[in-house]
Amino acid sequence: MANINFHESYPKNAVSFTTWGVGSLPVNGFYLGTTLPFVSVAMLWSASGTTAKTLSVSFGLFSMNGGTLSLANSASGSVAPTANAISWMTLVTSATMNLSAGNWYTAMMYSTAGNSRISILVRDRALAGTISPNWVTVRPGGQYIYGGGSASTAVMPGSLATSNTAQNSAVLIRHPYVIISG
Amino acid sequence: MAAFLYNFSPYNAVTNKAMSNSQLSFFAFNVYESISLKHLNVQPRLNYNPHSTLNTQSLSILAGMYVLTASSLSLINSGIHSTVISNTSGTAGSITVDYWADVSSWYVTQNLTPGTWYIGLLPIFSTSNASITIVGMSLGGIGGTMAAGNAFPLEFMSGSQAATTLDLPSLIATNTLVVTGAGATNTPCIIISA
Repeated sequence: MANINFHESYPKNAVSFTTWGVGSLPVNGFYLGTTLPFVSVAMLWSASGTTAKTLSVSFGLFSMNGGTLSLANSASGSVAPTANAISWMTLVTSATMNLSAGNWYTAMMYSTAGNSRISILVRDRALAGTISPNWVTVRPGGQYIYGGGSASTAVMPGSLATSNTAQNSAVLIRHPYVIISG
Repeated sequence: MAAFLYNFSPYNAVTNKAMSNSQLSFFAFNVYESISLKHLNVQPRLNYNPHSTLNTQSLSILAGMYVLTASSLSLINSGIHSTVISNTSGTAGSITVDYWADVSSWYVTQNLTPGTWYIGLLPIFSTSNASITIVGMSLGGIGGTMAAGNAFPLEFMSGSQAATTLDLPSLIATNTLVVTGAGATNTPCIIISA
């Protein structure tokens, strides 16, 4: 079967720019039906105002081994806008690789400097609060699909135990929009 | 083998497909890699209006795995999810519950082979004062202008049985299913997991 050229987190519809707690690490699983070269990662950010500010993003690609997510590759980048803008940012990958068909997981963390008037395009999966206060069972049965981890440093962890990723918090369940491209 | 597959990410499930008590609906689901059928997850929103003396509502969701041959759906496997919603307040009033419903009790152990499967979903309530929607995607405002009699033109992808039922049919002709209007294309988010 031929390679595909890109994987998109989800269609670009009805999403919002937001940020989440620094140190939080939303994890989201997806399925690839065929191989995909992992060469570039793109994401969208939004900024306002002329005050100097910086957004630094770290992206991780994980595979699942038992109940532990293992870092397979990573990408990072930063921007320092001084005007109102919505723009793409390309994250530089640490190494090129071909993703095999199967299930993979993405994770993203970020930090800001200057001021906080900069945010990332995400889709929220708020299980409590504005979407619905009534959730009782907060994760699908079976394999790990998504959750909220945390990182104590600005460096993407080499492994992440799924037992340590919360799946019942409105704050931690975010799905940043990314495109992985060959 | 795949660990999990979904028809679309649960993050895109933003609207509700209304499903009536004892009404069977079918949805096409592409399987790209073999997967062990252990869990089939959907997100119901159950609205229940208990009388003060009726404190519980039971919900069962029957799920059938069908294959399409010519214009007939044939039942290959079936599973069931059951839950009980309790009115712990003891007084009348509307209760809304959202949750992940996990169909995990299957008639036979099965590995789903690659191809298009058709999933039949049949919610059954114990009383009449409850309703259910399942979170998914719809045509939304665009669908609102679709003529009610406008039928989906391609090979069968989704539709509902007009008559109520309490069981999954072993064989059903797709030309007996309702495929007209925007409602016929509303699709719940379905996650199949090993």
